[in-house]
Amino acid sequence: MSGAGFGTLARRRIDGPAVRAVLDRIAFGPVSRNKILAGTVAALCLAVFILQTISFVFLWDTDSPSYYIAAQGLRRHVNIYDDRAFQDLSAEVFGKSIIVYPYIYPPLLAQIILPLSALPYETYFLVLYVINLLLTLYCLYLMADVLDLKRSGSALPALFLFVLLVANHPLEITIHHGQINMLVLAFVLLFLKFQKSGKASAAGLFLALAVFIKIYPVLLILPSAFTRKWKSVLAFAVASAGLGLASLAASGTAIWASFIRSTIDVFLGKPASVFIRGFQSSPNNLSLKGMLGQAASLFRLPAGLAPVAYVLAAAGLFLMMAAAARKTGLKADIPLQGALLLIATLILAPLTWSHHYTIMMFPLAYAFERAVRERRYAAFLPFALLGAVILYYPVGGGFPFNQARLLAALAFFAGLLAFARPRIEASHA
Amino acid sequence: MTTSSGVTAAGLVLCLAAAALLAALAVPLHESARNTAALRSTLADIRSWDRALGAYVAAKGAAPANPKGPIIFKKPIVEELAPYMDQFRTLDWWGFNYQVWTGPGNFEYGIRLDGAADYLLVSTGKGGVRETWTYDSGRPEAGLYALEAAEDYEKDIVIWNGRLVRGPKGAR
Repeated sequence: MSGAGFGTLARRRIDGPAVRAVLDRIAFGPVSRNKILAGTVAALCLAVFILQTISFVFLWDTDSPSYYIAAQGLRRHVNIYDDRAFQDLSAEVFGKSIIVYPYIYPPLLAQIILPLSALPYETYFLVLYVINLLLTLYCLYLMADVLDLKRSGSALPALFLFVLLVANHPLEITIHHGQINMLVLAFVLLFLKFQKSGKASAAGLFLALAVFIKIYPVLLILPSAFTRKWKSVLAFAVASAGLGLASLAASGTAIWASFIRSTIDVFLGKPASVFIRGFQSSPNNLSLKGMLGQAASLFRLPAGLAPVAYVLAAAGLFLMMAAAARKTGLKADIPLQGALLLIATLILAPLTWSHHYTIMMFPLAYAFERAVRERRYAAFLPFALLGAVILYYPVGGGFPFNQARLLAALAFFAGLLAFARPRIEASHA
Repeated sequence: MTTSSGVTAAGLVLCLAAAALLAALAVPLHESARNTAALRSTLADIRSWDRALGAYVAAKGAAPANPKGPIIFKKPIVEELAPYMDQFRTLDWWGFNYQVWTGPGNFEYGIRLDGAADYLLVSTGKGGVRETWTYDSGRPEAGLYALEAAEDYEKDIVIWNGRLVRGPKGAR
C-alpha cells in the first residue's frame, strides 16, 4: 500500500454510523445467518467444554461427596444436619482422611440423590458428571427458548450462549465440584418459560422444585405477588405444599425439623456448626452477608451493624426494582425479572460461592440478546466488562478484592435496571 | 468547508496503545494492592485468633488443646475457641491454614513454650511455606520487617503469647 493510501485510511472516520453499519452487518448480515458457520462454532465450543471438564471425572472434590453422604444418611436414618453425626458417617464411608462439607440443602435433594447413592462413589460421581453436562446443554436450550432466540434476526445471541459454555470459570467449578447449580437453573428457566406462556401450574411446580433444592430462588415468585398474579402464587404454594408433604412422608418430621432449625441459624443466628460459621466467615463467601460480616470483623465495627446494613441493602435492591417497574417494561418482561432476581439470589443468600455465579449466564445472555436486538452495541460493553470480572476475577486477595465478583454483580444488577428503560425508537416490533 | 469530527483509525490505534500502556502499569499496581489487602486482612484475623486465645486462657487458666500446627475444622481447638469469636477463618487470605501450637513441650521458630497458657500463632504468608527464621531473645524486635519488596509478603507472621515477634513493622 502506498504512503498516501495508508494516510487516507488512517484519517478515515470509523465512529458513528460507519461502525454501526459494520456491527449491523456482523449481527444481521448473511454471515451471521450462515448455519454451517454457526454450527461449526457451536460444535467447537462444545468440544472445548468437554475437554475442559473431562478430567474432573478423575478428581475427588467437595460437594458431590456431601450429597452422597447425605443420601447415605437418609438410608441409615442418621440426622444429616447434625455436624458430628454427618462427619462420623463420612468417616465410616470414606475414611477419616476425607473432609466432607456439611449438607445444608433441603432434604429433597438428598432424597433425589438416594437411588444414586446405592452405587459406589466413583460410579455415582460419573453419573452425576454426565447429568451435569446434559443439564448444562439443556439450560442453554432453555435460555434460547426463554429469550426467544428463534425469532431473533441474528445468530450471535445463540452463539454467545456457546461462548458462555467455555469462557465460564464458575461453570467449570460447578462441574468439578459435582454441584447442583445446573439443575436449579434448569428448574428456574422452566419456571420462566411457563410463566411467559401463562401456564401457572407448571411454572409453580418448577419453581417449587428449584426452591426445594436451594431455597433462594423463592425470590422469583415476588413479581407475581407484587403484580397480583394470584394464580401463579397459588400454584407455587400448592406445589410447595405437595413437595413438602411428599418429602416429609418419605423422610419423617425429625429431619425436616433439623433442617429448618439449621437454616434459621444460618439466616438469623450463630449456627451451632463451627463448619458453617467458618463458611459464613470465609473470604470465598461472595454474598452480601459474607462481605458485610468480613468488613465488620476486619475493621472491628459494632457486630450489630452488619445485619442492619444487610437489611437496608436488600430493601434497596427491591426498591430499585419496584421503582424501575413503574417506569419501564419490567412488569411485562419476564426474562428481565428472572435475570434481576437471579442476581438478587446471589447477593442476598447468606452463603454464595464462586460456582454459584454460574447462574450469571442467564443475565449475561439477556443483556447480550437485548443489546443485539435493539442494536445498542456500545451499551453491552459495561456488561461484558462486569461479566469478565464475575466469571474470571481471581478468588481471594484480601478484603475488598476478594469481593470483586459480588461488587460486579451489584453493578450488573444496577446496570440491568438502567438498561431496562424502553427504547421505542430502537427496538424492533 | 465542512469540519470532520469523530474518531479516525489512527486515533483509535493511539487510544488502544494508551489503554494497553495503562493496563501494563495498572496490573502490577493491582497485584500489589491485592497483596497489601491480603496482608492487612490476615493481620486482622490473626489478631482475632490471638484475642480468642487470650480470652480462653483468662477463662480456663490454660490454652486449648494443642492442634500441633494447621487449624482445621475437625480439631478440638476450633470448638473450644468458637464461643470467643464472632467470625473465624481457618485459612489466611492467601488460602493457607493458620497454625497454632499450645502448651508445654513445643519448640517452634526457636521459641520454647513452657507454660500451659503459652501459645504460638502463625500465618505462613503469601507463599504458604514456613520460613527458617528463628527468634532471637537478645533482639526481640529483629523479627519485624519492612515491606519493601514483593518477597516480603512471603514472610511469616508469628504471635507468641499475644506479642508480634515476626511480622511487618508497625503492624497493630
